[in-house]
Amino acid sequence: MIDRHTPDSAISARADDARTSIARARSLTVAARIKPVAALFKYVAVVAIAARVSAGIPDFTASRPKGPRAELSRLPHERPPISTIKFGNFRPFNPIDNFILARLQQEKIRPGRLCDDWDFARRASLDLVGLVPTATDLERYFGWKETERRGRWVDHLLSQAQYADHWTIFWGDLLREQSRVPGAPPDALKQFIHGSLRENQPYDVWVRELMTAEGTAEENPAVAFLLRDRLEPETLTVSVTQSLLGVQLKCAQCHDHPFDWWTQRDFQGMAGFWRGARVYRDSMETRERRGRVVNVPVLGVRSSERRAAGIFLTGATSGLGAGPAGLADLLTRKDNPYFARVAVNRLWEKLMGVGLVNPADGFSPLNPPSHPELLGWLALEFIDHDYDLKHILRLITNSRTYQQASSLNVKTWMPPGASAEEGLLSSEGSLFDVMPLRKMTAEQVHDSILAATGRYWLDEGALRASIKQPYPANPRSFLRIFGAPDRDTLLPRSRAGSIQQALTLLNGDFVNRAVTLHQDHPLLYWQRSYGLSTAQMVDAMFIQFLTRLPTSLERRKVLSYVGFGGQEWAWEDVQWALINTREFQYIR
Amino acid sequence: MSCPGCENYQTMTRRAWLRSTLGAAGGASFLGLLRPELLYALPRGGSRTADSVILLWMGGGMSHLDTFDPQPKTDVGGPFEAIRTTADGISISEHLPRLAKEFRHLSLIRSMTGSEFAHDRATYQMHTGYVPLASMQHSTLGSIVAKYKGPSDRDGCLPPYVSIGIDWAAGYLGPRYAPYYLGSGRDGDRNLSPPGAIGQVRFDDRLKLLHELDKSFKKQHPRDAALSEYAEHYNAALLMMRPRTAKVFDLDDEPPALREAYGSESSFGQGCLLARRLVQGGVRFVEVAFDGWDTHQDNFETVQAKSAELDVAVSTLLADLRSKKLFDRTVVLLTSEFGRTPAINANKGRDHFPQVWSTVIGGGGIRGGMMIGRSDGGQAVADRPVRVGDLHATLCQALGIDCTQTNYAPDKRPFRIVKDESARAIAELFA
Repeated sequence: MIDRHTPDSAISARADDARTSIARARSLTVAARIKPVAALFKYVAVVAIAARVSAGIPDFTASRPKGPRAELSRLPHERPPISTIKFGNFRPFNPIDNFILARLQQEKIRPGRLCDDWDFARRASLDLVGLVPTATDLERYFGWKETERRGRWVDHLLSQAQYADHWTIFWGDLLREQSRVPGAPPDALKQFIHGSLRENQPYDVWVRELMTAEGTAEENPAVAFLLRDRLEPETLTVSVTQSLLGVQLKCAQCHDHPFDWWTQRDFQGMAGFWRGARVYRDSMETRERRGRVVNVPVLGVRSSERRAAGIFLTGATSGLGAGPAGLADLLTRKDNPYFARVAVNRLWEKLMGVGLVNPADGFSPLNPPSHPELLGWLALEFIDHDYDLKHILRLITNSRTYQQASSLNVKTWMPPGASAEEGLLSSEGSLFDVMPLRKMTAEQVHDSILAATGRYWLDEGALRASIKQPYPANPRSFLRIFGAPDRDTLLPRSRAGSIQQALTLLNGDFVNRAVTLHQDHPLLYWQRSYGLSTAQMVDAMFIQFLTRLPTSLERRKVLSYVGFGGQEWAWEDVQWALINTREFQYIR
Repeated sequence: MSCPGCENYQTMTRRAWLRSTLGAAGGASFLGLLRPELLYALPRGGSRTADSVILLWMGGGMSHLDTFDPQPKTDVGGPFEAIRTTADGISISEHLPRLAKEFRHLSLIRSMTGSEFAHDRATYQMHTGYVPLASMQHSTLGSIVAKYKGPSDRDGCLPPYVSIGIDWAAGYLGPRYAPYYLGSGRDGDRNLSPPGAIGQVRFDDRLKLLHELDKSFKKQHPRDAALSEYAEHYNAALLMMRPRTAKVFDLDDEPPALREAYGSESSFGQGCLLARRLVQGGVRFVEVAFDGWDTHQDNFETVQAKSAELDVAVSTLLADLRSKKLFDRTVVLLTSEFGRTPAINANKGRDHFPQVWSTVIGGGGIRGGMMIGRSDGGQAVADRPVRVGDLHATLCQALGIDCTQTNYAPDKRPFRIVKDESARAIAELFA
């Protein structure tokens, strides 16, 4: 995937075109002051834009779907019934498993065996708080009764402060959060997201706050979301529909979508909501930037219904107006077939490696989910529990499906009628018979190294946790090399390795500094507090870094490396080696 | 073991060297470290003169009207004048004087045409020959060239495909042919050697320990594609760490006067210098990106400034390649994802225009001084449209790669090197 800093200025260019045309049309509207005629002019403006913009653009009628337009099905009124399942010795832990096992039974595929407690501890910790579990945490974990262990571990993780850190990055990717937003204080949007997650605000509530934010970012940090895109209707439309509604409308800006039913009309309908708010300059502020004192404007957002013209994707309009308030209302209504489904699908994809709808921004009747009833059930569960994100995370991580051992061969599934040749909208889905072996994200690698070396909570300069760093990270930084996005576009993170990643772990400053034995290093702490023998320290290191005990061969090799003196440099090398094993970077 | 050109490592004992590899972690990789060319081994294509490609990528959509297809004294031409070049009948922008002198070695395609308006889609298509799909990442031409040309005799330790200033995923050809990405030529890569405090001996010791620890995990997951990909990257990284190889990335090795000639303040210029060193070292495909051509505002100011930088860097590169006797074996390609509109907008800028734009190509046995195709005042293709498939076919012909061959993605989907069956190499460029 491309990794570039150039934003898509085609959007800005078209925005300029569109805005001037609409402004012209509206000035005629005001002059005319007759509603029917006004509507005619609005229509004319839209057609004029379409004509102008479509000059020279190829015709997509051949590839567009045939037949009458199909809409994504509404969520059922009640949750789909949970079928009782009798599949050998495989018993469901919660309703999620009923759906998954029923399907596996239908396809005559054996579900995988369960992972062991060590693997579960590591996996859940990385997925829920973005860190490998420390030896101290694991001591507590194994102290719990075996039957309650995993459930209590999930509850423990969800109550940690690191939960908010980790998920701020996840939602930050989707909202394209950047530290530097013109007109707002630095990290405003990050603070807003972090605060909402810390307090476990219902998802629909904080999304609504983002859409309808008003005032300056100092008064209301949620405003930074709108200021980030300078309230450009076209940019916001593309980004919000892709991240929160799971549809790619980008193409429909300039022409009817090449392989889905969306038209330019749909695009302009959504863009219309954003025309109901505008940016204003509140004041000027002096700030220091690179040693110089500069005068920067403080910007704010104000709603102005006058120009609002929003029509939702489903064709619905809101009684709360055609501006952002109307959008927020329509977005979070239960009869919006997208919002809840898209959210639970993103959570599922993060935890399970593949979404129920794949790709996660390909929601369309042409790209059906691999498990439609499960998706419906999860969405309704989400809504009925007041859009509680932690509830869904708890459900998924407590399911048998999540707790399967990881493996190479996952049974895949192709949506019926999907063209293997073009695969334009759809990708292979999964039947979730095993957990795929997933690679850690950049932040997980980075923060796990800090956690395992006792530095995550120290907040020191170059060795700060990811959440403390400005986003997007510098292109040559550790995080970007490992795939952290540029937060300009919504391209999915690359999960591929690279020579650069290998070189960074082998020789980079970050790892070499992290492994030095500072005074709060766990090794020194264990030595002081428990008087562990060298062999026990080796075991503790394996537990700390790889969440398992060493094999007897491994223990012997490391002991002979460290020797009985246990010199500092030797322990640094051991940590370095543990970090560089391929095992470290994978979520077993 | 005698890796050609790696004398420094011959000072290590054979046993120490064998132990210090990740060889046992992946059978092929062990062999690869003894004979690096086996790591990337693939039969060569036919016999043509070109061995390598330098792609100079003008990111953002370079205005063809203000560079290689000037239209002075017309409504759409803007303020720039045109100057004659050393190629008969070809005039280019007055702001590219040194490049104009090089034109007898280069050919100009004025009738590039495409249909993508958006940066990411157009860039993707120009690099891979395919339009982006939700489900699939295609391999770029660089990966294809790296695979089909195989490693060179010179130094199999350099990655065959290097990308400076622009990053690409490996695509369906897999991680072995993924580009080695460098943010900028000037800064090189500090991670090519262990930090001073660690030193080579300690590094080798650590590496041995790492190798031991890796064995165990591999036993549990013997055939995971992702893990063997990991081994590929690690092995390639270790190869690159050899001192003689790592030195290729050190621009201080060049005389200051030459660095100056490329433009000492210019990241692109230094990238071009690095590209020459890489090609000299046997890299098959080097891409150097030069961003900032997306001139929706202040087109003329920006293009003039960038033309100056471009002019200096590329003319020096061409002269340098010739002086090092590399020009006949290296195809140099300069192109962009689309052109810009003849109509000048309200911000004194030009907007995206995929209907027609220009590409410069030369070296590697390709005829110089030719003009291929014409545009109608820079506004439409007048004659001989050249699409991305034709351009890729031309490159393949220069390199001796059969572009009708098909590669298979891991899920067995076939991908022709050049997608369009009607694409043809530009015959006029081959004598």
